[in-house]
Amino acid sequence: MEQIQPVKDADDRRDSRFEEAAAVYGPALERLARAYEADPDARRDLLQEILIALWRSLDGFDGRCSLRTWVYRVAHNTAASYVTRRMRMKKRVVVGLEELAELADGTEGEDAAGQRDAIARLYELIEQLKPLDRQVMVAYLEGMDAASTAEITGLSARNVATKIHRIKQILARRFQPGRGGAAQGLDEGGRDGR
Amino acid sequence: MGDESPQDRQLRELWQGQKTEGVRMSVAEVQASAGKFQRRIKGRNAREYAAAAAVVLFFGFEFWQAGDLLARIGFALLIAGICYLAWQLHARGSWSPLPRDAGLSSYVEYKRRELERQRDALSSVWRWYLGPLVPGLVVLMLAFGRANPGHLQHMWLFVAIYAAVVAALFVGIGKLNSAAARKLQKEIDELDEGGREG
Repeated sequence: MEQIQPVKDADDRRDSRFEEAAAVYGPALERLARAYEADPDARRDLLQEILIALWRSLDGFDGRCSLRTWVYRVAHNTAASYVTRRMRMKKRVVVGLEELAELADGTEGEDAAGQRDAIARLYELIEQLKPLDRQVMVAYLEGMDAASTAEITGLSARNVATKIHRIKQILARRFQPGRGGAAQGLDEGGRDGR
Repeated sequence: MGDESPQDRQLRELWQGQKTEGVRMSVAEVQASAGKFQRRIKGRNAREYAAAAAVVLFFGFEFWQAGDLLARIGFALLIAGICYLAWQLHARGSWSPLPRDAGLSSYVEYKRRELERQRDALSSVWRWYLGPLVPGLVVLMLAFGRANPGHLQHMWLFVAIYAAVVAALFVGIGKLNSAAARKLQKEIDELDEGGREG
């Protein structure tokens, strides 16, 4: 009986941590899942996979890093494994930030693309990226600083800074004001009414 | 992010403010799904064991039927090789749940371990995949040649051609795997580069 109680306590601790993590980071995990999977049904499966991995992993959470870092590491590692499996099946081509900066974004010819909203275009951009660059992009959009992003990805702070610089360049080029849909999308969803 | 432009901020606010479905899973639901996941893994393992057992049964039947001692030795070696291979395939199987300590590893560490595991499996394919089958196949070829003394000359020629085809196939598989291992090593080097400061 003395041995059962500590196990139960550990399970309770894990379960309450899971509930806390799911409540605080649930929306961010949904956005993350969408960044890795466009299909709504498959995305729900991925999110479920992330939540299961998170719940299982919280047994080993010992406070060596913050709960946020832990949650994002588990989520990104699960999602990246998922993408690798899917790529093997679909032979999808993904590129790094460097190549993406060189690629035409398809909105040069404006109109049709100009009607799409900024969020959809952001997801299209993200889907083209390799898992590591995808993580940096998502972390940047989630408002994480370079140090937290480095902690989650394992990239050096300097490399994260370089990648963020490239991300800003890509976003600036593709979402510059006055360029049809991007600006329109931003204006529609923007908060500061620029 | 001190040098954030108003446009950057707007994009990030737009991203963070987007509507989500509000998918929630209770602990009970997660537990149930984790149980289902475990059952799927057990099912996959059972199918692998069943496939290996069917192959072993087939060669076991041949072993039992063979009157020649050398052929029996060949089938026994082949069965042993297949058992070893099946065990290795199972032990090296890549479809497994995320490790419980996944939160301790950054993506670079996690991915590096995964790539190393795959690279080692591919680069040692002779040791665990092709090699274990060789003794049985060689002995069976010898037994096959020896069992037909009436047409010895042609039979040995046939055995030699058969052996050359099998050897070429094995060498081809080995080379393909080595090339794949080199590709993985390149990915590992790229990850190391990303994690290095300066």
